[in-house]
Amino acid sequence: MRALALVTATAALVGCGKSEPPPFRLNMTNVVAKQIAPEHQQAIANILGAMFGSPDEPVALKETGLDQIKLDMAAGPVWSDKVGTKHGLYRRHCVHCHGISGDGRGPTAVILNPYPRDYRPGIFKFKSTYTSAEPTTADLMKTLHEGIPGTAMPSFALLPPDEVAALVEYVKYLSMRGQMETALESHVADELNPGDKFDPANDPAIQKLVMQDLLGPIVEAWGRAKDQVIAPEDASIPQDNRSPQELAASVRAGRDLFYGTRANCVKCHGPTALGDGQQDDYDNWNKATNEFIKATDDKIAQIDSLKADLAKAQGDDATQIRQQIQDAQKEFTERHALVSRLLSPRNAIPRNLREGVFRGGRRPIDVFWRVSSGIPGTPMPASGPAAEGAQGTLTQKEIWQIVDYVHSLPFEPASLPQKRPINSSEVSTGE
Amino acid sequence: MKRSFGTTSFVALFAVTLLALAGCSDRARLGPVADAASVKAIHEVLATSKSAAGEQAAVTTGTGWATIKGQFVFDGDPPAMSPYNVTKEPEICTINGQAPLQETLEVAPSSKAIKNVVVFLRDASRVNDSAKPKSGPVEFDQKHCQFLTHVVGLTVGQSLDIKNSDNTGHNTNILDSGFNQLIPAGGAIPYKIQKDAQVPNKVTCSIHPWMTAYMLPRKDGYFAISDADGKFEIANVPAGEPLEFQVWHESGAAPGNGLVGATPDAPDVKWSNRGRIAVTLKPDEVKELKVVVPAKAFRL
Amino acid sequence: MKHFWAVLFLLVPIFGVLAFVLAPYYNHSFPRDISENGRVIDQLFYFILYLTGILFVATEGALFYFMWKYNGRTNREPVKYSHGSHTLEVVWTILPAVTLLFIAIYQMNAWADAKMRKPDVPVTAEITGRQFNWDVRYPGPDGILHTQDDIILVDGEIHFPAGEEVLLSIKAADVLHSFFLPNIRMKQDVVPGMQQYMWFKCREQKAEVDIVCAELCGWGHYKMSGRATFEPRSEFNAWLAKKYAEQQAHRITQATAP
Repeated sequence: MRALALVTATAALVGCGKSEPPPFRLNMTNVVAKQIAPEHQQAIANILGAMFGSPDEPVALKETGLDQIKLDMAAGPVWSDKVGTKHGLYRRHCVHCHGISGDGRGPTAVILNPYPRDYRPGIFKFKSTYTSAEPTTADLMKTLHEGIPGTAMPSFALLPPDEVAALVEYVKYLSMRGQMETALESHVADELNPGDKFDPANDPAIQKLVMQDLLGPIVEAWGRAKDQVIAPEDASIPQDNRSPQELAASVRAGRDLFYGTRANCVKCHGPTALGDGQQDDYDNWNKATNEFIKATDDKIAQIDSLKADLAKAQGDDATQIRQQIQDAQKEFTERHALVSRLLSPRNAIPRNLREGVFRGGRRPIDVFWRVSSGIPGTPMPASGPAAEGAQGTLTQKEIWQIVDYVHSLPFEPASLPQKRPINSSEVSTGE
Repeated sequence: MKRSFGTTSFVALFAVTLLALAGCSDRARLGPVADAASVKAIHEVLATSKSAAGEQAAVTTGTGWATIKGQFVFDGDPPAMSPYNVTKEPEICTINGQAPLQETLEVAPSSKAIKNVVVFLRDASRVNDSAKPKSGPVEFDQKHCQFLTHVVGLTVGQSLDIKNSDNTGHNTNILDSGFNQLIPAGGAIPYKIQKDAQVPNKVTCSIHPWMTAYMLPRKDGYFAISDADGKFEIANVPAGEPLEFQVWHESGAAPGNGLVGATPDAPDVKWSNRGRIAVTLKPDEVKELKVVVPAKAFRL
Repeated sequence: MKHFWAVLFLLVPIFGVLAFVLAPYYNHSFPRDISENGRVIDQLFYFILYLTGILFVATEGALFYFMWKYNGRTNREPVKYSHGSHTLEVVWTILPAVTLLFIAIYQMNAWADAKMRKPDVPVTAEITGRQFNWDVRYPGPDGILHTQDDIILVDGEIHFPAGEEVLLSIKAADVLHSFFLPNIRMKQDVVPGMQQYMWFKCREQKAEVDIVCAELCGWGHYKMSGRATFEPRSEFNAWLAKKYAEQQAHRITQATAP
């Protein structure tokens, strides 16, 4: 009997060990929120499979400009060949947090704060480009090189450069795939009715739609990133050999901006710069989750109100309402099944600037970029221009003054009388 | 021996069940997985297609121009709007201590006209000179922590002049556009529209999170936003060909906040459940619609 | 096979000894020692290894002997139980006690050197373990830690001056970590909220060695690796100056855009 138990348990173990290669899955919260019909879900999965391949066999269509060799290095299961070349880099280093499809929902994601980045919207926080632009390759490399201090993202500086380059390419690939998925889902939700065919295999119009109208802008944005780098003008950059008095003057000017009504840093980062100002907003990723959960709760109210209507209705009206109740209940069931799987939404807490931890890098140029173009996907707004040639809220010189102040903040005595923000009742401690 | 038989088999059964649950369970409801045969077929056409550019299906275009106008009327008892939830800076964000009313659904009390309904032509096969993209700026001001234009429409190439008439800083975050910039107190920032959108983008302020507005950037001038009388007019749309207009309201209950109304007086106007109307106009026709919108068409 | 069990148990000391003898040839022994103090630590280790090794072989030999001699197939006589020998008890209590006391006294100096006699030199760097990275903070040009000109590096590349006493302050940002330099034979656990010190002297002029975390600190524990580079003071200073300059970058430089 004991032997039998052992054999069964071993069989069960062996059975699990040889699993299927992991597939890419769709963003089911989006699919359910947009109520995409099952046949269209399948069609989207097929199109994405044709354009981007699978986690084991990624495809770099020439239109995407992705490098197939790099993708092959990063994708697939983890193994090393005879000469020691490592394969499956993404699954070796990244997947347990960022997930197989780059959804930021790997098994360890739930225990992390902040949650790992979901690459699929194609929004990256720490970059050198204008707010709406994609990051450059160098930006992503920097994140891999230094990690993100203050988070669970470690540095990968010890990996050979070709492996880092392969991982960066794969992150771009997952991003493009995610953006393409969103574009397909939006198109289906906006244009198609249940039963409509959505198969590019033998429909040139859909081929054109997929490759040009939907993929085109995504690829173009990634290609344009390198021309959208914000380069501060030489004239605005502080001298290297500033005297302590000059630096102090700059810090004072930065402090005035921090508390003033032009830069308004105090509104979110708080009168003490401890990040205790506006704390109830969400970043894009958590906002999406939050809205999904709220809409799910609203469904219950909708079903209740429909039921109340049904009690009053007669004849054709009643049949119609019954149908509506059925649809609403079906959607609620689908949503409810997903809600338990979502990472519970967290507020975007403004950075505590007194810790001296700079997630996107601590060099003055890094902080300059954060202030100038804001932090995309978060409530942190830009104070520089929105695009090349546009009007910025602050001049570059003023942004450098804020940078100086931010660098001095961890060393500014916290007991320094706080300056009363102009026209604000939030701070009672006077000057 | 008999007793240990029972225990062992129970433990074994338990272990196997646990393993099955943990490792081999059907990961249900994760969505579909690409089907290998279809993937191969689609990949072949996409990877080899010479971008299929030449194969444009011929679009039937008519001649001449027509005008569509009308009024949106609420059918039922319009809900009362509650004031904005002003949580900070009351000395700036309220008017004599009263927070401004929300604008999620503005209905005139007597005429029941619905304000801020957006109507736009989804795809124009040709564009009249009068509806060509414009270049002038469109003012977009904020005062008492409220956007003074609740729904603003403009064309690509125009610039949205975001003003701040408050004595406090605002930031204007246009969702899904990648624009999120500080607007200094008493200052203005022009934002040049580069890209059109299929539905209005939500505009918010992170500093004053109750602030809400909508911005619709379009490729052409074929859009209208209903005024306080619920009236709208889109002039010089292509005649003699099928047109599809999107009717949108921020509280619309249809997918994508579409608004499904009814035009009992105009049987040739077909409504879809996405809040779209299909109609073909004759040259020089002025189509006047009285759109009755039931309370159910709003999500409140 | 009447001696099956005896032979089976004989395999234990044979494989045990073989494992230790062969380990260095398969690169599974100690990593190269580059520290001034490491020799003493290694000597202590080997002393205890030999001592326990001899005892191990002796006990296993005795076990084998008795199993061979009194195997169940040929010995049909019943077992005889003795009720103890006072002398034996005293002997095998006193002998280990004396041995342990000897080791305790013998290692005192090594322990004090490694953990108690903190050198009177300024702190070279502050190392902070966070899940899952080693962050390092060097004093900037003013030579004082925790001022605005500190050089903070988060890429796991940590440099130390060779041939001189290095004093590190070790901290943890979140959970228990342990900063471990195997080639220096030094390891320091650290609990959040505590400040620990660690000091050593590298006797080689140029060395590149591994840094690891030696305390299971979470699921990403294995990721907490780094590379320590030892180099002469002049090169170390030059490296530090370069890192300082990089940290002051106001422009897009080559380093900004790799």
